[in-house]
Amino acid sequence: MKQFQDKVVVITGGASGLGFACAQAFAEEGAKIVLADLNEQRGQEAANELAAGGTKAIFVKTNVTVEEDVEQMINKAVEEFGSVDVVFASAGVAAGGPAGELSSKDWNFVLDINLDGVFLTNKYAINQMLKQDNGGAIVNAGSIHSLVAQQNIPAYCASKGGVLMLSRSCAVDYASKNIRVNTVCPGYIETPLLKSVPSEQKEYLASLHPIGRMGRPEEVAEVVLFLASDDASFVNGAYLTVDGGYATK
Amino acid sequence: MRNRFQDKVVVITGGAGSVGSCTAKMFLQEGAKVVLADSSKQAQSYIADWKQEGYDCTFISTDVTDYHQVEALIKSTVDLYGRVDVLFTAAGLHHDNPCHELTPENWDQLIAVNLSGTFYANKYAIVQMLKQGSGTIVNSCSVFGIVGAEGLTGYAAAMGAVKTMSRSIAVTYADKGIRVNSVCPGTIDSPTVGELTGKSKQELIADHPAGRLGTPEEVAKCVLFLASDKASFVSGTELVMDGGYKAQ
Repeated sequence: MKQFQDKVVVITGGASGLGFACAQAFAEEGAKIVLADLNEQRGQEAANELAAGGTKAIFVKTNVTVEEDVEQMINKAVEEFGSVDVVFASAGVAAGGPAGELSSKDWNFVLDINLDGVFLTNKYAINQMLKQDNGGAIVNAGSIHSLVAQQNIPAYCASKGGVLMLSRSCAVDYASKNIRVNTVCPGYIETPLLKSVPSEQKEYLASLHPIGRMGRPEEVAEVVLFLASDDASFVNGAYLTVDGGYATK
Repeated sequence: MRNRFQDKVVVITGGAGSVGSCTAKMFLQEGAKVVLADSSKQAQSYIADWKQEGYDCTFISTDVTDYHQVEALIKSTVDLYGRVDVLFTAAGLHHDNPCHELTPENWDQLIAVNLSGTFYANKYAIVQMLKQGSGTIVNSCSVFGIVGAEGLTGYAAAMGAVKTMSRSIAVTYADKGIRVNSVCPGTIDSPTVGELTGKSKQELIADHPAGRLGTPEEVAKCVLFLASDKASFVSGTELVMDGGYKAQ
């Protein structure tokens, strides 16, 4: 028996990067996958890719900052597969500049997607999970920057700090309803997002991790799967760093 | 059945306790060879039972407060099984008191078992793991190593120290292929529940948003995850498993 056999897993930001790596890992463990993303073409391709491997997967075009979109995402999952057992809220962006130079527009862009989007995703997921006897498990994408700061990304740090406390609050509110909400806090991960970063900069980023390298998307996926699994049945309102020791220092 | 620890050599200190023994059994079920170290003879009888079931495991009588014995534990493990892939420090003393009532003798014991014992086990395991170029350690900590609780003094001090010691050890050896993490349970249902804080079981349950206490099996599952290759980029962290206790 696979760990997520016939479980329904919804992943925001699921078309690429970390979100898609997690989708693949859940699929390998037998889950049915709902990929939600703004990028329609890539999202459909990603769902087709999973389906080609024998996974039941659909793509739902979703702007996580639009309440109707998020509601519809959960409704589609239920219509198609009957329940929402796991949600991984991984949609996220970063926009640079220290606070003195950061435009309100960039601040709002980051906060809208990284924090408001996670709130809306949790809200509609929880409303569905409350109807289910088995409740459900939510994993929200935090970051090492939920815990420690880095230069030039105040909006990102603020949004990820917010995700951590939002997750804890949801956990405390719904623990007795058999809903678990935890935060995964990755360090820097080799994703398409970092492809454009010059190699010197990458070496610097790698050096920030005591383990001496950046992480791989699959390594984050393993942690997300653990938090979403029954192995973590008493883990609630917690965060788990997957950062090669970055935030430990 | 998963097989994440096929032929891995696992040392568990405090193996006679409910969490230690439960974790040992799970490691065995996933293919590991287990050395159960404890000063209690109870561990010996677990080992006898598991050997009868066909598992490869050994009891080594060990007082973790005596570093000579801990050094010998690691040496004997290497003599027997060739290496040490995983260390889980589960040895712990739970009899604590409010600060003004805690005797210096009791304080010394709490620190000796919970902190010094953890240091000795980490030290000698790391000496071996450095020779291997790999290994992973999970130290037993507690939510009371992170947040305060009425009635605790020495236990809280030791657990807080285990947490920060684990972090520093993790950072020190991260680039040597050694991962070190702590598991921080809330209150676990066991025959001695309530001994630590003096609260009734109902009071303890009410403290946990989940509306129940944890089980030794739930701790064991977290320990196995942290010790497994699935957690290859997880080091220097505390995995809190407390049904939401600390989140509020």
